[in-house]
Amino acid sequence: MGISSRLRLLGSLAAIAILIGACTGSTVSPSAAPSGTAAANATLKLGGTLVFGQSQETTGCDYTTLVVIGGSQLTCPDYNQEALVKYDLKTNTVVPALATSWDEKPDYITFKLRSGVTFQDGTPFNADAVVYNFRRVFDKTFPANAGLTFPYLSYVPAYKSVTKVDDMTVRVDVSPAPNTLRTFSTTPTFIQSPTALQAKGKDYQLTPVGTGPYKVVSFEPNVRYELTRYDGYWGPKPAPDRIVVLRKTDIAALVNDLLSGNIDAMAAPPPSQVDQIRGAGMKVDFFPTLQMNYLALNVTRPPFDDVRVRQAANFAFDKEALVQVLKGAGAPVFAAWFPDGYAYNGDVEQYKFNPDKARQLLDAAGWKLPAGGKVRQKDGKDLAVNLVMRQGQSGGQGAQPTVAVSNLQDVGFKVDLQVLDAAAYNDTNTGVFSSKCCNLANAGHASTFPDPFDWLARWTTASIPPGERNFAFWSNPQYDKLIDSARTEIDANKRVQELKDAQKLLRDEAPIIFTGREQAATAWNPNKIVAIPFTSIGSRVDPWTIVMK
Amino acid sequence: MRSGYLLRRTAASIGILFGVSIMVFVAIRLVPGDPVSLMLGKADQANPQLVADFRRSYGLDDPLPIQYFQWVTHALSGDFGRSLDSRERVGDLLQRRLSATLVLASLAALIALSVGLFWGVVAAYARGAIGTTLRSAPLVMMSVPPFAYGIALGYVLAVWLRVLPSSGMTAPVDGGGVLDVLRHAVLPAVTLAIIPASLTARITAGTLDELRHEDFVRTALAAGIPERRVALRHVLPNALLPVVTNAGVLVGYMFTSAVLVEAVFSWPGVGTMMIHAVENRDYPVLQAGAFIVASVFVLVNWVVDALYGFIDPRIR
Repeated sequence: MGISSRLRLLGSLAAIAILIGACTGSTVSPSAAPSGTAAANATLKLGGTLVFGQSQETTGCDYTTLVVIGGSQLTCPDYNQEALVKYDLKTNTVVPALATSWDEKPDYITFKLRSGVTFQDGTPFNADAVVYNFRRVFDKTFPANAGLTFPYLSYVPAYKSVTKVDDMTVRVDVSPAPNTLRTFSTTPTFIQSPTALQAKGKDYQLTPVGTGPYKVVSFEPNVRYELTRYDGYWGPKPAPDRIVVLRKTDIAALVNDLLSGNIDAMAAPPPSQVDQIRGAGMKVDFFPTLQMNYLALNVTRPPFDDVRVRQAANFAFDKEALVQVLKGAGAPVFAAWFPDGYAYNGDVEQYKFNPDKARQLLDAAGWKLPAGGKVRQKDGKDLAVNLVMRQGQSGGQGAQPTVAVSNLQDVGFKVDLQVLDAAAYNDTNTGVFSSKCCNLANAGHASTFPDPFDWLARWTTASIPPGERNFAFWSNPQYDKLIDSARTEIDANKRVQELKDAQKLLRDEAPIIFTGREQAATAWNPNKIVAIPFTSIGSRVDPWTIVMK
Repeated sequence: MRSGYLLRRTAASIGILFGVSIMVFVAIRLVPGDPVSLMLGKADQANPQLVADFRRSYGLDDPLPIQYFQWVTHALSGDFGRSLDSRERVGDLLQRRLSATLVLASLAALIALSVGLFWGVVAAYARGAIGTTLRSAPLVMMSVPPFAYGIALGYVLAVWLRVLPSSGMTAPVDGGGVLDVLRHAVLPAVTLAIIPASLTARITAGTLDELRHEDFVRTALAAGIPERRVALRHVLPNALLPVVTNAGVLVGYMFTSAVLVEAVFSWPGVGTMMIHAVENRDYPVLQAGAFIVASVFVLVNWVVDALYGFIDPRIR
């Protein structure tokens, strides 16, 4: 039986069908005309096909169930689905999307829905659709929720329930918390066609149906997906008629594709090849992200159980040198938040490169350099630490361990650099989630909003692994109190002060070396494309910012 | 008598496949790293409640023997489950990826056999420096790893001269025609064929050398048959035997090297599929992939065994 089924499979393969791109999307034409704000981008020339290459994984196109939403890429659901509201990074405000207006109360929000919107399969968008979508994601008692898992529910922590008020109005009950409205722009709240969700079942994520400007033509995980413009889209149209995205894990293959004209643009060209790409007449540009890279110092084990040794490590790290290595792919950060970010505390002393101060602190902590030696010692023991990084960490995050090793050695540490594959790195018993794993854990974190809260919340006692990702295993009651209070504080001024105080504590206690801000890059062929930037949030390519030649 | 032999071989093959399925199942679970905490960890969302929910929904919280039993019973009915990574049906994925690898491997086998045979014959009959060069070259070529050829060929022919596409299986836009796939297959197939071609050339040249001094050759030549005719009609068919018996080794080589070559050329075959699956600890894909590759091996060896029995009555 086993053999015969295998033989049947082989038999069916004998035809060697070429299956790539074989499936086609919905052909139902939209019934309603877009309400139309197309005049807003009348200057954008429409037409053309964009072929884009990236090395990140693209395992599905349904924003609510998609597990890995890597940064620095062109993400399928951004083009296919929309949420009730959008977060505008330029103005730091919430702007209308599928909802045109809202009324925000401490324990509920009422959304007025946009009329005349149709899903790409012709299903009308209305309150029923929103209720279905929210219950599918948030309500464990709802039949459509069964058997599904939604990885990013933590993005919408205040959600309680949803009710239909009338055909074009919904009310969402929430627990009182600051900044709840903007969480309705995050991935679990993206709205999709209830008809398609019910019809396609478990294969839905490969050809989802939203209200966005592009329909999914085909989606082959880890290889390729293709989008075509949805003519019934309610808003301004993005430029390309058609978008093809290739995934190749080998970034050098993508560079070859770009140089040989096989693709028009790519994400994340490697710093080492930027000069070559530019030399061939292609364009490369860098864009700031909300990702902060860091090295977490494990405070539960010597030598980093001593705050002076942690401060010394902070002073020893040369952030400017790291930026030079990256050739534009990074920017230095000297404190616990971005200097241009909301609620940044500019009054605390920053950790600028100062190896002499690092040496003094180590001396004071009892770690002395033996005569003629290079490694400091205390009570006959070497100042030896291990630094663990993950295979495939790239950009600033990938480059910083090498810089750290040489900087720390300069001031008298002995550093053992260990590279683990992703599974071993994330292992709860042996990887960075275990306090026994390592002295320094190499990592990074991208904030969802330009607000320091979720970044700072990561260093609380509650965030110590395995639950969350406080890889320093640092615990400070005063810090916990500040963060807990900021979590629910409605008064903006008080909340900012709490966030600033938390930054000062992080600076003084030094459980983390904040190394730099990731800059994402795109490279493109100027004969085909005028501009293809990353937006700062999530560093993804926003459909409306693509300008075709 | 013959049917008894075949029956024994078939029973042995099924036993091997059963053993392989257990080995693969256990081996991939011995590797550190849990697929769910890995996946959620990469998504920056690894909290215990969520991990537990995912494990339950993927059936990973059952005891191992039960997981194995469920896998086997489903697999026997042709259902290999769903990928933990993309939630796609593993059967669909396998069918697509295996056809891509078969295209590549068949083309490479064709190139390897034809070039290797031709090379071997010319090398055996060429005299002087040319003969020496032709005979020793395959040894040198076999000692370079295939991915190195791939990178070099790709750079020269695709990036520099731009005569062939650098990677992928089809053109990004409107690709997928037979000619389009063949064009994309040239570089990876040639890369994959270099070592088996060299091996075939060496075996052919060596065997021809031995056969040329056999009595039946001398007799044929003495009878006045022209040397070229003796070589093609009498010597070469005898020299083919060892080449054919090497087919099993060749198939094995094709599948293992395809992993490297597919990675270099981003060929969407079983090799690249297995690399993704290992990186993500995608158990269902790994199990099915390893099992199918093992089945191909077993099948080819079964055919070779059967052919042996047919050719040589002594081993029946």
